[in-house]
Amino acid sequence: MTIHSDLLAALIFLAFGIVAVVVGYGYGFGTMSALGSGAMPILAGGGLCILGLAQLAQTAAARQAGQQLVSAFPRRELRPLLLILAAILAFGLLIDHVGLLPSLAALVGISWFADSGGRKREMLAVLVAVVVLIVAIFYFGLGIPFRLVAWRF
Amino acid sequence: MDLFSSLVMGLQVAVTPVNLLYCLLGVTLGTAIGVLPGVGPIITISLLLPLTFGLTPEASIIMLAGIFYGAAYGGSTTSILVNLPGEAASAVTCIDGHQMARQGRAGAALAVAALGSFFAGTVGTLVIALAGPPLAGIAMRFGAAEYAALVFVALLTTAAMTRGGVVKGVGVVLLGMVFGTAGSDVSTGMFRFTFGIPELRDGVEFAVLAVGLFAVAEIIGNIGEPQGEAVSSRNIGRLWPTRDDFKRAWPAVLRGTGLGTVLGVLPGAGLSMSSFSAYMVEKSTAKEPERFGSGAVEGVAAPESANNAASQTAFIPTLLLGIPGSPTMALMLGAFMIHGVQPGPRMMGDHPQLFWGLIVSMWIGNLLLVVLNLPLIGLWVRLLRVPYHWLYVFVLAFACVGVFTLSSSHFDIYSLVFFGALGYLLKAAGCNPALFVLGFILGPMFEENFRRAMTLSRGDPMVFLERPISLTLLLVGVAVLLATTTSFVRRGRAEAED
Repeated sequence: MTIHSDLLAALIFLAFGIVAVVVGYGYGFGTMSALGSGAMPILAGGGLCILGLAQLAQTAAARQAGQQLVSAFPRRELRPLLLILAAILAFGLLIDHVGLLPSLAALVGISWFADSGGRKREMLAVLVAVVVLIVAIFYFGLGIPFRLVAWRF
Repeated sequence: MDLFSSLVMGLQVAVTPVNLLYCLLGVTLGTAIGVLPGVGPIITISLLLPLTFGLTPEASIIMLAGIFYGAAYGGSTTSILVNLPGEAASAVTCIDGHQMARQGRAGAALAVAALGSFFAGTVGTLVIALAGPPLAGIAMRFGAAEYAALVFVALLTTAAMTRGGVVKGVGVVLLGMVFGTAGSDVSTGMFRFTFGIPELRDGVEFAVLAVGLFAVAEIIGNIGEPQGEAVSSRNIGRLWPTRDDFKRAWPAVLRGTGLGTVLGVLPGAGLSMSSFSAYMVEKSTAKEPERFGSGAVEGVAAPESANNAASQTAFIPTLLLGIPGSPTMALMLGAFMIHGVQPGPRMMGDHPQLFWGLIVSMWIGNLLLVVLNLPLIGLWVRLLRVPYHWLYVFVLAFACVGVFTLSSSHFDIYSLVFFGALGYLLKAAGCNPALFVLGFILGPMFEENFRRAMTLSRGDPMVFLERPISLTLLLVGVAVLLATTTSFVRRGRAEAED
């Protein structure tokens, strides 16, 4: 079964809607004249569930009618998705331990391969350019006290 | 205080050398980032948001206004030069603007866009200054029920205006509202959706959310996409429009400004509706409508002026009511709130320096764009030719470091991963992440006023229909909803997408 965009929307709405209603219920709805902390999550989440179901019904109808459905995740987007997110994650994991410069190197080094177009030799040039610009703007320009290189675990 | 002395006070705030410098910095940075291919105004503003954090409230808001205009101008530049609209509002400029560029008249098109925008911005500024005080007076009489109704109508009409259908539009807004409830509840102090994470007690960090949803998700979607055709700097042509251009453009600028000024105030519809309808008006009143689509200068002048007039008057609901009419405005409102400025009817009285300083610096920002940035067009064109596989690496590094500077917390970076993934999923699902931001910003405002209104009416929901202002607002909302789902806007939009 292909997950196409309408089905994906339905799933997102339902997933977050259910969480909002269930967790919100725990906060208490309150009464009509004194709405509790849970009222808004329940109302918004309930709305999300209804819309998700409506979208699901619409999708099912389209499937019955035999419409051609295109997957919401084209294969060529999978690589950028994973590598870009991995690059940011690596930056977050490293920044406290090794300082700004090595973290930036990891960020550039991983995200570079998200696009198949670039060559490795270019990567070094881009890394240098990124480091120079970032250090110029944030470290010298805004005076943010980064540790450029550190070693603490 | 009369209008004149208010504007003079604003001028005194805006033209101090430091604030002028920040305005210039904002305009230049906004343009520089805004012209990058695949980087629209929303991404530009969210990327540059962390840069303004260390400044005084006046300086940071003035710089933000500069960034706002620079980004919008950068968006028009990419529309004209490479046929890539940064946001829906400048999509219509592509039609004739890009044709002009292909005929070697990109310079003239850009100059007409900038001059038209400047004129429209001047009118818009005057309208804000004139309409501000009386409107703030009316808004002061708004009670909780009126505010709740207003937010509700603003959210609903915006959701309905967006492409992709009402179900998805309303759904994303609701999703944003759910995320907006995270953190401590203002009325009870209870922590909601914090899942035991101390960083979430103050709610989701707005700047992180914006950078993740827009910059990160956009990069993921854009990698591997074919790039628009580049225009080399040689065939920009002369910058100064011909006499014929002027003759054709100025009535279009006037009409566009008028339309944009009025439409910009409407919540939800504002920006894109104004440029689309300005284009439609020009086309249907033109003596030779067949010129449109093949490089008519009116087709650039009218929507660009309308767009800019509307983005100026869109500050009226944002600043005076605290209700942003568009996702970009929601971003600006979020930025103001980060700096401890709560826009609303009291802003003019409580922070007059800030309010009038902002109004005047918006005008100065427009002026700086024309005087300083137009001659720099060669530089922007060179930026346009940076290959995307270099560009995204830089944008990503900028986003991560910018987010990290907010509170030096790696939790923010992990949130960035989360919102990047969420933004990607929303786009894959055909939902507009910009609506998410609108729901996120307006959700808490709606919740607070809705709960207060229900308490005051002792639990009777009829209060929203019994109070005249609230009823009127709801009726206007229904009317806008009906109008947008029918003819005019749909037609203009379909045409622009062809």
